[in-house]
Amino acid sequence: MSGKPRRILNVLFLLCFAGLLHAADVSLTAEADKTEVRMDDTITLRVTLSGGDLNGARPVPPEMPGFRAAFAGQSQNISFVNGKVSSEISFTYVLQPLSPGDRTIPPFTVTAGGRTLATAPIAVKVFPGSSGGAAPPSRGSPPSGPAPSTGRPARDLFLTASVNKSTAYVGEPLTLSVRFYSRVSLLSQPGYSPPSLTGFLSEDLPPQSQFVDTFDGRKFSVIELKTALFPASPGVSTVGAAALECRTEDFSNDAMNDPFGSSFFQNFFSNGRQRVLRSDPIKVKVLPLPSEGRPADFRGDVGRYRISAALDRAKTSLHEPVTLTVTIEGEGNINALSTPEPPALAGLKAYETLSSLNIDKSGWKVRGSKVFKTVLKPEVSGRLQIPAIPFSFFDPETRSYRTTQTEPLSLSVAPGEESSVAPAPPAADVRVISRDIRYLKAGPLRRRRTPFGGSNAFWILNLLPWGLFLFFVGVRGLRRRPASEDAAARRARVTARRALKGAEPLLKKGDAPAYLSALEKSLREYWAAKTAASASAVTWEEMSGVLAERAPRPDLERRLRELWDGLQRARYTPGLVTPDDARAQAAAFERLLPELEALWK
Amino acid sequence: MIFTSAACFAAAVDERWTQAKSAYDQGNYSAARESYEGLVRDGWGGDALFYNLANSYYRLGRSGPARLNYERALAESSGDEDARYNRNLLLARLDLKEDSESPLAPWVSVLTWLFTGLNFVFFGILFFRLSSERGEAGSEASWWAAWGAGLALAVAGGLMIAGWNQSRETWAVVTAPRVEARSAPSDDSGVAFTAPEGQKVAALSESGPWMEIGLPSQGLKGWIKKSDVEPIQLP
Repeated sequence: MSGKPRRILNVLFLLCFAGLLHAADVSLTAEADKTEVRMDDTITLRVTLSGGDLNGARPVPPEMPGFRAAFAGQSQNISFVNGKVSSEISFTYVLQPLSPGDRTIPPFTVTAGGRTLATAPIAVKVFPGSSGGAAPPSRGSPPSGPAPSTGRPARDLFLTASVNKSTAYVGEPLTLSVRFYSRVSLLSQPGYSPPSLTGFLSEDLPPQSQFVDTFDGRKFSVIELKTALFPASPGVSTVGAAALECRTEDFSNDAMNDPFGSSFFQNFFSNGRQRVLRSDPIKVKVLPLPSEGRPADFRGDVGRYRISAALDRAKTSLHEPVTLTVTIEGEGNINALSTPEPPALAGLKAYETLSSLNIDKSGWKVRGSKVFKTVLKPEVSGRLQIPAIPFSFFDPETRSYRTTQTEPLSLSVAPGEESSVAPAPPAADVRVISRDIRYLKAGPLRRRRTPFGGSNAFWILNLLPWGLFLFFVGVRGLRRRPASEDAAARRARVTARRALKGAEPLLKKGDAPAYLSALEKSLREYWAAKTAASASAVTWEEMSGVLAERAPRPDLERRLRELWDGLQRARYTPGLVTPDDARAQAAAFERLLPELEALWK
Repeated sequence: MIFTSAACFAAAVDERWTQAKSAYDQGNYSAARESYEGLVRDGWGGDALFYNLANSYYRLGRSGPARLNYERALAESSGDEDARYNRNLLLARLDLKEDSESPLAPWVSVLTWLFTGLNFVFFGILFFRLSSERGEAGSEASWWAAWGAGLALAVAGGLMIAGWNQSRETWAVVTAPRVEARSAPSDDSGVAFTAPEGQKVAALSESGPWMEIGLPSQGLKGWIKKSDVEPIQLP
C-alpha cells in the first residue's frame, strides 16, 4: 500500500488515536523504591501519570519537609494494543533525607481531563547513617554465618573506589571506578553491593573490565566496574562505601602453621572463609551552576549537545499530518534531558510529543540522543514555517552556557480535499490562526523633515497675516484725512451743540434772526467737519450727494432739506422770523444730529 | 544636466528601496535592515521607511531597535495603524505595557497646522471686513465669522502650546539587552532599577557618557550609559 490510501489510513489512525486518548481514564500513582532508608542513602520516587488525553499535564511536586528533592528526568510511553491506546508518563525524583525520623512524602497532584488527581502519601522511616544507630535491613548486608572479616587492607584482596573529579558542577558527568584487587582464588561468585549515591543520579557503564595491575610491587588480578554520576544538587555529596562479599580459602596462620593439626584438614575441606571488603567513601564538592549568563530558556541540562529538527516530508495537503522529529544528541545525562520548548506553530495543530532514547555507553561515557516526535496537522494551506527551536545547556568544559538551535523548517501545504480525510471545521466564526507583524509598506519614501511646529516656516507663515494686517491698517489710515480733520469729525456733534447753546442768549433777547444765523453756521460747520470740506462751500447739492452716497433715506433727506430751506429763508427774510420758528428749527436740528451722526459710524 | 542628475539620484534611491524589500521577501533580513539603515543615514525618512526598518529588526529578533523604529514611524504619522499594531504585538511579546503618553503630544503636528490655517482664516475675514464698505449686506455675518475664527484660533493656539510643552519630554528606547539604571552617573553607585530591551524611557538629562532616564508612570529615575539607549527623535 502506498501513496494517498496510506496517508488516509494514517489520518484515520490519528483521529482514532485522538478519540481513544480522550476516552480513556487518567490516573496518577507514586511509588518509592524503599520506605526505610538511612541518612546516607536516597529514595527514588517514580510518579506515573497514565491514561487518555494527558494534554501536557504535569504533576505538581509538593513541599517535602525532611527531604531534598531533585528531579531526575521523565520517560514517556504510548502503547497501542488490540485497538486500545494507553499513554504513560513517568517522572522520577531522587529524595535525600535531611534528618532521621518518621517522614511522609506528601501527595503529588495533577489536573487532567477536568479532574484533579492526587497520589497517596507515602510513609518513610529515616534511620541515622551507617556510622551509628539502628539501621534498616539491607539487601547488601552480609548474611548470617561465620563472622566476616572486613575489608582493606587485606594483603591479597581489597576494594578501591575513585572518582575522576573531586569538584564538579551540578549535572556534570563524573566517572566512578570501583576496583576489586585479588591475588587469591575465590571459592564462590562474589556479592557486590554498590556504594550509596546520595545526591547523585547514576548510570551503569558496562562492561566490567578485567586486567592485571601491579600494586605495591605485586601483581593483582583486577575487576573494574564503572558508573557515571551526575551530581543532583550543590554542596558536598558523598559516594558511600562499596562492599564486596566473597569467600576465599582460609590461609590464616593458625591453620597453616600446623599441617598435622585438626584445623588444617578442617579448613581444607571446609567452604573457606567469608570476607566483606569495603572501599573508602569519597567526598565530591558540587558547585552550583552560575547564574551569570544563564539563558532564559535554560532548564538544567548540563553537558555538550546539539539539536536538529526534520520533517518526514516537505510537502503535504491540508489536514494531512506530518511528523516533526527533534533530536538532541551529545554527551551528558541523556536520560534526564528536558523536552525542548515547542515553538509557536501558526496554522499547525500539534499533538502530544513522544520521546525515545538512544544511549551509547561505549568508552565508559554516557552519550547518545533523545528524539522527540510530534505529529503536526496543517490547518491552513500555503507555505507554513516552523521556526528555529532553541536549546540551552551548561557546558562544564568551557564553564559557560550555550544555546544551540534547529534550522527553521518550511512545509508546503496544498489545499487538498478536506472531505476525503477529515470533516471540515465549522466555519461559523472567524478563527485567528496566528498573530504576526504586518507586511512592509510600499512608501512613500521622503526626505526627513524637521517638525513644522517651531520651524522658520511656521513663524513666517503665522506672523505674515499679522504683518499684513498691520500694514493694511496703516496704509488705510494714511490714505484717510489728516488726524486733525478726523478728530474734528468725531467732535462735530459736540461742537454743534455747544454752538447752539452759546447762541441761546440771542434768542432770550428776542433776536431770532441772529439765533438762526448761528444755527445755520453750526450746521455748516458740522457738515464741513464730517466731510472735510469748507463750511462756506457747503451747499444743499453737496449735502444731498453725501446723503445719497452714505444712506439713501428719503425721510432724512426731506427733513434735512426743510431745515436747510428754513435757515435760508430766515437769512433772506429776517423780518418774518419769530422766536418760535427759531426754537422749532433748533429742535429739528437737535433731532437730526443723532441720525446724521449714524451716517459716519 | 541638473534634471538628469536629479533623475539618476531618484532612480538610485528607488532601487535601494526596492532591493531592501526584495531582501526582506527572501528572508534576508540583515540585508534589508542594512539597506533601510543606509536610507535613514542618507537623510531619508517617512513613516514607511521607519516601519519597514522596524519590521526587519523584528524578524532579526532585535526587539530594542524594532521598538525604536516603530515609535519613529508613529512620531512621523501618529495615525499609522499598521505601525501601532506591530508595535503593540512586539510589546505583547516582550510583556511590556504601552507607556502612557502625554495626551496632546501625538497631536502637536495636527494642532500646529490647524493653528496656522485658522490664523489665515481669521485674518482673511478681518481683511474682508475692513476692506468692505459700511452698511453693505453681509456685514454682520462677517463680524460673527471673525469672532468665531478668532475664538477657534485662540483655542487651537492654547492646545498647540500645551502640546509643545508636553512634547518637550524627549523619549528614548533601551536598545541593549538589559540595562541597570544606577542612582548616580557612576559605575560605583548602586543599581536603582533594571529595564529590559525595548523599554521606552524618558530622556531627562546627560552627564558625560551617562544619560538620566525616567519611567514617569512608575516614578523611577536612574542613570545608564548613553550607548544603551537611542532617542526616538532623530537629529
